[in-house]
Amino acid sequence: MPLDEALLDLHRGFRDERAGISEEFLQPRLGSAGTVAVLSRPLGPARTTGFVICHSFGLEQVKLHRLEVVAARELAAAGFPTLRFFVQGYGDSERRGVAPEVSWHLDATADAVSWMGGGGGGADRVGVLGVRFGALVAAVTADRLGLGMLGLWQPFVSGLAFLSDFRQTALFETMLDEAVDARPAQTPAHGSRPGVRFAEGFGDEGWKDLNGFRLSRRALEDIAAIDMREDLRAFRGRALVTGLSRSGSLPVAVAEVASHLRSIGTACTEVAIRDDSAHMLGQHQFKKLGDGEVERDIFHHGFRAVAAATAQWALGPDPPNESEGAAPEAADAS
Amino acid sequence: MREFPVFVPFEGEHLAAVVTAPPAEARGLVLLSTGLGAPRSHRHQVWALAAERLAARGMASVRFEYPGVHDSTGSAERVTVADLPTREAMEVARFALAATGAGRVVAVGNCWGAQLAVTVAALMDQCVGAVCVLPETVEPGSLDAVVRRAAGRRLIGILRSSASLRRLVRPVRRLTQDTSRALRGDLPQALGRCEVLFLYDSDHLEIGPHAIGKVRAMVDHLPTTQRERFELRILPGRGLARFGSVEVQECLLQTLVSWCEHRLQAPWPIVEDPLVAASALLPGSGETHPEGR
Repeated sequence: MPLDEALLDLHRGFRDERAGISEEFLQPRLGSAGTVAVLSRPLGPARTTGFVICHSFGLEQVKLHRLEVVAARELAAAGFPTLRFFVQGYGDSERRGVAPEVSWHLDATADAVSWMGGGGGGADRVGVLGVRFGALVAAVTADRLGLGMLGLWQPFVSGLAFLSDFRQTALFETMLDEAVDARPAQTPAHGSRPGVRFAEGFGDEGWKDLNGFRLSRRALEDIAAIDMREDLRAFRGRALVTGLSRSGSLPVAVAEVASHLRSIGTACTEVAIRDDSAHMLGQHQFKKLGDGEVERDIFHHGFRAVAAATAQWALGPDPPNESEGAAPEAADAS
Repeated sequence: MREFPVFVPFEGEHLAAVVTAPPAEARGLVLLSTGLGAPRSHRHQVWALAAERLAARGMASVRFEYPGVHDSTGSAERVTVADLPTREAMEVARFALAATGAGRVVAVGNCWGAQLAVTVAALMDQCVGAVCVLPETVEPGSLDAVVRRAAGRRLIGILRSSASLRRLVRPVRRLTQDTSRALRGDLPQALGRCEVLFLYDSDHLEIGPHAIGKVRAMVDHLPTTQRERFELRILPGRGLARFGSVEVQECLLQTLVSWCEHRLQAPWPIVEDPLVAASALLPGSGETHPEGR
């Protein structure tokens, strides 16, 4: 029997009347090859601002993906079309079994922003969102492309700060210890580069097997080279900085990002969310209860809180110093 | 190869899936299930890579996400491990069979998805084989539960906190463990209709010989025809549990693709029970247990 393409096309998307949204799978070319993306849209009139979500690096992309999904659906329910997608080397993208590069994240995000603001997404204005490493990608993109809205979830002020935390996650600890020497005492002063032993343990192909993930030397170097204090200076739009912590206060690393945004004159909304599992962000999100008969999604509520805060921020009024050409939010609803 | 991301409707929710079709007519379908919490492409894209390689050998595949996980709708706030998403998996398989025109399916899964693969093989007439990567084979037995109740949570906490105490208690706990309910019920039924492959790695030989022994003992008590359909392989390398090295990923992919190819080339149907064989030949035949689990 031949392939039933009509049946497959019919199921590319769904409508959820209860949530007031629709979702559609897309297969755009973002960056160097084709990939899979999901466009979440409101069932009612769409606002003219759309969002693109940037995912994190390595296995964190898998662990934090549900946050992207929950946030995209919340934003769509609030009227904002929102696009999430896989960078090459992740998920259902065309390039598989390869070591992802930072440039792939940045190039694909730039293409996704163009798509969202062009014929595809139809948005007049595009904002970018991202979690952890994805926040660094979003920040660099917003600065380079002069975007008006930037939402950062559990961000780090620099790639080195991200790598230092990334190293500590249980999954990556052992092998990253061999590759990265990012202890605070040896972290280079702002503005200087590496302090990370890149050259060790990488094969001729330029990548090493990091617990099953192909980690390239170039990716490590490029992550370490990102620094918001250098790479996020022109941005003048509206920013959201959201942090999760067990205490309910903004984590120090997150507060540092907010401080930098304010120092460059950005209108920055800070949101701190108390979550007992905050220290597990980016790691396995299911926790066994009792003898293991039941597993609990430890971020079920945390992700929803982040999504709700993001939608509330997106709906908020534009500040007086909004970048030129950006329409006021009040006039945003169509 | 062509890929089609879809949302498969299921009881008011939408299960995110990707159907991969080979360039020519598919010789069969492979249903790729994951452990709880993993995405359809799986860690390090291992299922996406499997789909690519299966398509290169003429096999279609479908990989999917459970309700409340990744792109699927619904909630997974609390998941009871014994409640396998069997009906969801079979709905996805039926959708992909209809879309690709394939007539039969091999169920593949790791961890939670491995138990699911056994159950699908037991219940779905079109299923001609199951590949189970590190299936959970044992569960706490009744004696274990009695001891836990008597000891109380505090003592259990103390036992868990000390590595040397854990080593002392482990043999006692093993004695009280039973073969998991899912396997006790479904593995014999699956072997009644098709071949089943269990895959472990060297790590598991060190930490899980007791669990493997329980399965072997159970299979040894089955009739010869069923026993002969069971195969257990130990893959070289380590880290299969998390697909934790590129080497073990490669080894798994090669084993998986060649085993599925072999199953889908086999004469059809391959069941011995005449009633089961007859039902499998009927067009659009349903499952032996339509309610699933």
